[in-house]
Amino acid sequence: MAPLPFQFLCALGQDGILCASRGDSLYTFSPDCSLIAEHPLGGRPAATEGAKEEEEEGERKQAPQNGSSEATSQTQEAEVNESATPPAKRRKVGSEAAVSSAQPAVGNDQQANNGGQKKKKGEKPADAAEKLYVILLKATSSGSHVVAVTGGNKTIFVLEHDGKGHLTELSQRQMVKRPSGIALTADDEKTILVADKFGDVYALPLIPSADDALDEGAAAGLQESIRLARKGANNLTVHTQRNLKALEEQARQRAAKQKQKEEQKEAGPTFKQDLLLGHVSMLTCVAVASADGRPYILTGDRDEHIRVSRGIPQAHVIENFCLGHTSFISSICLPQPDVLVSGGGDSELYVWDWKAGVLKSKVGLLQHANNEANVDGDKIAVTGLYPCNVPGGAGLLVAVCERVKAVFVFKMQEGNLTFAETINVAGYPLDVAFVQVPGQPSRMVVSLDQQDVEGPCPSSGLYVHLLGNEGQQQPPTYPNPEGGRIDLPRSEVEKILYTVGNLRKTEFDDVTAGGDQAAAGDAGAGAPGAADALSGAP
Amino acid sequence: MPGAPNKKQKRADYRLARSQQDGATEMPKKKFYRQRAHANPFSDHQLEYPISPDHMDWAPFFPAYRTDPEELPEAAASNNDDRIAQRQPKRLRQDVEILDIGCGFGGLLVALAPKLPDKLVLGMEIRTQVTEFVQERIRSLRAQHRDSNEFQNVGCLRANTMKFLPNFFRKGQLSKIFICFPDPHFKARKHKARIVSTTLNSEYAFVLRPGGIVYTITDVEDLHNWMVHHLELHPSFERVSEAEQESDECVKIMTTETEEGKKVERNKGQKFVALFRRLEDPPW
Repeated sequence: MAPLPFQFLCALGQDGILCASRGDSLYTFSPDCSLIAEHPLGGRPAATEGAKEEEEEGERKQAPQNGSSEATSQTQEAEVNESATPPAKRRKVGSEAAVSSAQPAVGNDQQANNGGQKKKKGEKPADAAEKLYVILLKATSSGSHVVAVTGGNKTIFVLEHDGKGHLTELSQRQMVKRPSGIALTADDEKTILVADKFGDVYALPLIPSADDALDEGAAAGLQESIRLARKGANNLTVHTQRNLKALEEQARQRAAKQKQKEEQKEAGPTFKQDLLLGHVSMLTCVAVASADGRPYILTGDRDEHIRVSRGIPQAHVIENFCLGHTSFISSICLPQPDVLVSGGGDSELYVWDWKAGVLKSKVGLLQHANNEANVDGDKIAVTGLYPCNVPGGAGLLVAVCERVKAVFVFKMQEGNLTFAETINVAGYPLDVAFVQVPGQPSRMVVSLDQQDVEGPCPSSGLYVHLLGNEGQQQPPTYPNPEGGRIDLPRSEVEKILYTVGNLRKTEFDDVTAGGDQAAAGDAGAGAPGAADALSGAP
Repeated sequence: MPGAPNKKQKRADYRLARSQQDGATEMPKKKFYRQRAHANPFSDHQLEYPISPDHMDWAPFFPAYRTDPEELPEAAASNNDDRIAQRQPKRLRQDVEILDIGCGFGGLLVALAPKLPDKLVLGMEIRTQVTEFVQERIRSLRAQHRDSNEFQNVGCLRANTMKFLPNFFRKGQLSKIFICFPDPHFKARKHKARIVSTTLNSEYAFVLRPGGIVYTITDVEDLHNWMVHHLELHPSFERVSEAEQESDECVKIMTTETEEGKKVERNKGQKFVALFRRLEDPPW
């Protein structure tokens, strides 16, 4: 068993306060590196969301002690719900990932989760912790609010920051699909853009107001599309005897379901969320940009696309695509308003004029990993790109790769990105934050996974590098607070910390896909000149 | 789905025989190219697709439209490894303008090509075997009509359009998109796999020029309602009026010439047609 390290970091405002996530808790640190407070997510009464969810939250925690009779009744309930709510994805009930289903219902879904969870908890208590894991963390630029997303239960938490390191939970909103990227819009950061693994981007108000609660009209719109889906084939579209029989059976089931549905209230999302755009591919990152006073939304996906869409309210208009990556994209950022830098499974970082969709340059990353960070092999996966926005580090861009014990620093000058230096660190870097401290040099804080370091690891794993310091001053150290630590088998920890490398496509996926395909070699027949184009030959 | 043990062998033999007779005028037989009618659009198939539209080499699909090599002084220059800002030379005299998404066995393509002789028509199909059939079919047709030079303007390639449409076509390149008898994906869980959805319509709007038309036809009423609902809901599209729809020649071809259309006819099923026009983007 191994405790979890600090994973995600963000600076809160300009007063030197750092927020770090570990497991399901957020920790805030003061400018002099002392712990201010620990904030367990979902562990206290939420201010705006109903008490119902809270109740169930508590219930879930008690779950292992409860009798099995309740467990079975809830499981049944969960099954009923599953049949009533359409976009539920069936998951393999393997030894891991025990979430029974993903549903838009908040109340009902909690129960559904409970059902699945309980089955698991009997066998392997450690897995359950995955339910409340911070997978994304973002603060508004003023530091007034923090947005945290937890994996497993796919919940977006918004917390208010009082400016002194104390956080108050404002809302919990459970998404249908697991968020994979979040961004805050430029208009005073009033809207959260949530990109999910299903490829869609939703807009959620940062602070849900009372009138945002989904009213009947909006719900009807949703129902409409569900209703359209209700009926399936008819006896004019199927022709074989067996299909006709199946059709009758379906009609019977539908009637039964209809009855059931009338009995219980139709479950739908209980908060406002607008679908802005979507890829038919897993989204990995989302960013906002602006040009000529107009907002834009940039989205990167696993299939090598970076899409440039207009901002709200015209997010349905695609302006262009930035195409050029040959492997997945995992991170995008805008070190300058007109320059986009993207990274992922390719050995280089790509620099784009995003407005025109033109690739301006590529800057090597793998070569530095090979030469300066003792990385063998020819593949790296960028976990994060962090443009520096604090004094002392203007124009810097930091890149972090999965399982590479180094931080790569680049310099951005007049739209050109050049490599500056490699900073070797004592563990695998997980996240980077730049903290501006009044009266002191700015800090670059890197959270490290030091699990492979021999012996026990007493330090917090928060590495500090002072910017513009020229080695004059000893960097301060952050403490390693006790409590709130979740112990998991190392293999589980790795699954939580290292997800980017799994985005890479495997070479022989097609063998099982596509039904009775005769031979994979067929794909070569009349294929477009992709291989040709790769080498640049005419 | 394990087929007959010698099915694979028979197919291989058939293909070998076909490849040996050069300039075959005999049409390919469908029975050697059948494939399960459903493909998972979310799977990472072993697809080949260009990095971007500028990297696409169309010449193998439309050899008659190939530009002469001497018209390409840049060809050698682009040979260096550094592709940055190096626009690949255009290899065709004109661009593909008409797209049939999920062209199946190519009935529509083959019927459209002679009616629109000055346009390039392309079919995209996700199933390898079926794509191959259409390519063979086009090859035979070209060989049969060598004198009249017909069917030179039609091509087919394997692609997952739901994922990779923008890799093949530039903004506003297409004037017509056909979506004929798509997989209905009845289960609610599978609705994201439908070829028409609110979010995917944005991509169709991207590759379609203003005034361009999306043609949809299906025999499943619910899917028809779904497609109409989602395309009408999308601000970039408006439905084309009944009268205009009736007068469009392509609608007739789409209704009668597609393989599925013929099958529905045989089974006396219904057909639902809807056309949508791409509107100009609002000012931004």
